[in-house]
Amino acid sequence: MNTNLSGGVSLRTRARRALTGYPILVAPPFIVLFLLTCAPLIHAVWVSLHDWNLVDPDGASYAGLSGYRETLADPYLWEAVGRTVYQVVGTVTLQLGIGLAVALLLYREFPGVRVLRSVYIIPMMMTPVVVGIVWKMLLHTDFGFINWALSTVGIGKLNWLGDSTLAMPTIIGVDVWLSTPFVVIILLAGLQSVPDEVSEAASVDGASYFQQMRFVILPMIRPMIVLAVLFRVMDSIKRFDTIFIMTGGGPGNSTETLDLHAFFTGFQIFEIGSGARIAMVMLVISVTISALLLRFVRSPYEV
Amino acid sequence: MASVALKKVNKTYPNGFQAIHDLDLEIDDKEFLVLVGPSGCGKSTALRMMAGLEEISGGELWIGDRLVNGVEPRDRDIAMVFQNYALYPHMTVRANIGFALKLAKVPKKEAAARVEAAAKVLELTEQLDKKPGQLSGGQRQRVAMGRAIVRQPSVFLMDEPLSNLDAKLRVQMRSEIARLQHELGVTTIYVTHDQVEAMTMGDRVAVLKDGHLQQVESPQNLYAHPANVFVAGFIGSPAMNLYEADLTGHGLKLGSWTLDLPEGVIASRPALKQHWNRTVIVGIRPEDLEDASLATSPETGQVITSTVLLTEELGSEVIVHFELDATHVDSGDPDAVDEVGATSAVGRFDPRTRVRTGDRVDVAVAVENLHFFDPTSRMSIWD
Repeated sequence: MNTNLSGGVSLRTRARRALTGYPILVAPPFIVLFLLTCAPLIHAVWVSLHDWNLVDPDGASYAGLSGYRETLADPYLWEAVGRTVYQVVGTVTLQLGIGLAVALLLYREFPGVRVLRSVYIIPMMMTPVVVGIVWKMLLHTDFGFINWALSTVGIGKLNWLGDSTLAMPTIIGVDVWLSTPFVVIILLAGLQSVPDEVSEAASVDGASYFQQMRFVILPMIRPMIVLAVLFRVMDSIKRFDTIFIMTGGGPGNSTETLDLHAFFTGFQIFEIGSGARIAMVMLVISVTISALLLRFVRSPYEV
Repeated sequence: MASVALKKVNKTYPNGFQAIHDLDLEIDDKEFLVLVGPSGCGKSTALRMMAGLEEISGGELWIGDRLVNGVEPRDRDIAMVFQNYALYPHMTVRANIGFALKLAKVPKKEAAARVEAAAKVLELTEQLDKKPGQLSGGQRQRVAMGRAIVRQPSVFLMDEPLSNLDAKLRVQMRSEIARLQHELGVTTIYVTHDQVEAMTMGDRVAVLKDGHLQQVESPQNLYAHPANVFVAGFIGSPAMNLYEADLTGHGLKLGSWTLDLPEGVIASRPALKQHWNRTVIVGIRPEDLEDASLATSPETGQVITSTVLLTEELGSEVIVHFELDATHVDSGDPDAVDEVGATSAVGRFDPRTRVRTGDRVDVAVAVENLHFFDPTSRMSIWD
């Protein structure tokens, strides 16, 4: 038997195979992907290394890392980071808690549960911009449904989106309404993958409902929980649409999160270089968090 | 340790399907009772009701001197072994076995010792720090057993615990479980659809069909005196041959053959006289059919001459299918595959037999071992 695998095949043949093999087949999607993701990213990095006000489109001047130094030293950036943390932690914590509770409820079989499961997903099917507009109307101080409903039980008018302390909790509340179904779906899928027999075995072993949850069910669906958190953290860091529609970052700058900050910097005062640097800060934060979370996405079935 | 008693227990599902009908069953302390029946007979439902995993629609369930109808599974002092083992995949074997002790707040030292002891009995000591995913099927099964025995409960409930094992391992674990149960002396209710498990493991066997209890007996009595046609056909492999036959002046008219029934046969079954000159269902166990040339002094008049349809050589015996032109009776076992046509019989011949497919063969019938059943009630005819 010929053990020399390349034996008998000429260099030319091998070269031809290498050129006509995968590279040709993989090239089209690779090029598309490159143009759509890598190229803009690289361009953004390039922009971030320049001082460039779009008022003068040709006026990009190389700033190197000194631009970054300036951006990172800006207390306004860190205020935006703080607001983003507030928004993300608030949203994800509430969504995980509520999502888990709803998933446990919808996981049980009872009459109408199928309809309920479908109904619960509706918010997810709506365009965030539309959600923003609808909620803005619902939350209107004078004509909104929410304040009217509260007035019927004797609660006075609240300026949901116009009060600087109330605005962020309101933003969080709307995002909870909008995206909790996503968490529910993922956790529901996780719960449904746990065999009934395992929780039955736990109940025979002497576990109460909460002990079953704590020691058996939740550890078993841990990868799903981490996955839901990962998606939701990524998604809410870049939550732009609803905030932009409902408050536009205000009142004052009380709801101006990082991405709104980057947007305003880049496209309202046209400091595109500075805007790109803020976006880079966001990118670093996102990648770091996802890398940390991904370490916890490990199946309990593995060793 | 405790006895278990089911009194007129019923199970009706919300859709109206009644899975269990007035089940009366008493299991003594330390007894090993096997609940057997074809698929869908309600045996698992019955067991799950005892475990508390399924609500009881009617009747009473007693464990020891406690009425436990409304008691949560965790307060019933039972341990259950599931068909799929239902191990906790994220826990080590040690944690799996010790989980119940942890919940029961057994002091850590004692719990650890008990887990070690259980692991030793089940030869799992080497595997204690592995996770279920790293174990073989047989080892997982033993972990499931370990989880049950470490608790020292009053009752073991086992739901087809061996059905996911390969044949060889199943035979081994069968005797292992029987031995363990005997040593521990824990009342055990064991559900299976495998009648070999039922016959070899149980002190008594309860046969269930369509939610109705058919018979509860020791394995030997169940085999020797099946109460009705269903039990007769269900217990024993190959299954009992069941035909319609007429009791006439000369004996038993079976198809085109007439078998002499000696006085002794009739005397030992007095009720048979009332069925004279009528049709009955007759049951012949395969081992009561033998190659006449090998049978010990076959009586003429108790021999059928027939054509061999198929032989299955098992080494220690030869299963012979041959023609018999009597009307075949269905025992009502939904899992049974009907015999080739409905006009054949199955005999278990001595391995020295020379018969081959297509041969003419004289078959001796051991008439003293025949079973008779009433064709309308399908109950056995004895006295």
